[in-house]
Amino acid sequence: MQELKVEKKRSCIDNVIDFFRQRSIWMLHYCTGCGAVELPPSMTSRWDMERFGIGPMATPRQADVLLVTGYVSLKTLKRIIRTYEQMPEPKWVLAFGSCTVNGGIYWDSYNTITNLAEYIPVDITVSGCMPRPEAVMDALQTLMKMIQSGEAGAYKKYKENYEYYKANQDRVLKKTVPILGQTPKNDLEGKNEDAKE
Amino acid sequence: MKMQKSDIINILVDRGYSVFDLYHNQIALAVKKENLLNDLIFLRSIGFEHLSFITAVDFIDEGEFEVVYHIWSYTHKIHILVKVRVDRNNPVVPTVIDLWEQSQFYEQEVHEFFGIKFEGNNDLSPLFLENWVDIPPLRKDFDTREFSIRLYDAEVDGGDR
Repeated sequence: MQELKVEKKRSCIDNVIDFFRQRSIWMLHYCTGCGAVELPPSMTSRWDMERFGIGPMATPRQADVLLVTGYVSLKTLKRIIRTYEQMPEPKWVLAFGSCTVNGGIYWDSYNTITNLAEYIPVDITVSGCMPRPEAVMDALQTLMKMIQSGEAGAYKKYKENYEYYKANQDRVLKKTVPILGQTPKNDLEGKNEDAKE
Repeated sequence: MKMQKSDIINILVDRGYSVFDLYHNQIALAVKKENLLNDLIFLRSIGFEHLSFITAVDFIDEGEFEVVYHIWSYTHKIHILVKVRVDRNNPVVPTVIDLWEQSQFYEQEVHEFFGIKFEGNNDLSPLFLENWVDIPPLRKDFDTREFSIRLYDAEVDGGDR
């Protein structure tokens, strides 16, 4: 997979645009798993996310950041991909909790994926099970700094490496042969290597 | 008329069932597959009119599935578990869709997760799993850890991500 190139030289107008972008992040209120319970305290008066210009948004067409809040089952993954592809650029993904990093306590379940970054590009991950609202606020402020400096461009990676992501998505969503049993292990690994190249 | 639990146990023992007294309002009943429908109709006739759930247990060492019908009585406030054993290689149970309509969904679910066929139920299409090609996932011989490692690249002990 190609590494993302960060442009060192940024024009004045980019800086101005990014300044306003990072001050008005609208996050899509799409809740998967158990992490969604940490968002109401983050949004309401105790931690008050809105003082940084972060607010909830109901539709993907108007949202800037997608929070994946917890374990992702195969059915949810399908919806997450549809949602992510509907969002207009620039868009960012915040993966929430250890389930989206390595599967967490559901790592050996038959219907939850283990690493979200294989299927959609992730800008920033918050570890913890569950992360406290302070961690969420910290991650969102880090995301704001990354937007200002031009580092938060994972959505460009999705376009450049579309085949890699699509192959990974199809591998889990469009199974045609049994994973256990007849199919030898090497077969699958070979397919995966091809997709990465 | 409300009956006490001991009275119900006496009635069932008199009819020749093997009855297990589990909790203060719960009893279990082991029945044979051939008599399953008759037994359920009898239970319904003495006031156990509500089917709460159908589930199954995989006894892989004994080569059998155990299908469990959870039946509740609003008059006696007693919960009966009707257990029927079927052969693991040919798991077929008669459907109870004519007795309780809601069993349609429970039978679809048990069929999806254990592969047990319900004879007489014409719609055993998948409910929850999409595009599933392996053996049913709640059987004991389905290795969910190995499945996760092969399909989702899961790493033991979390890996180094």
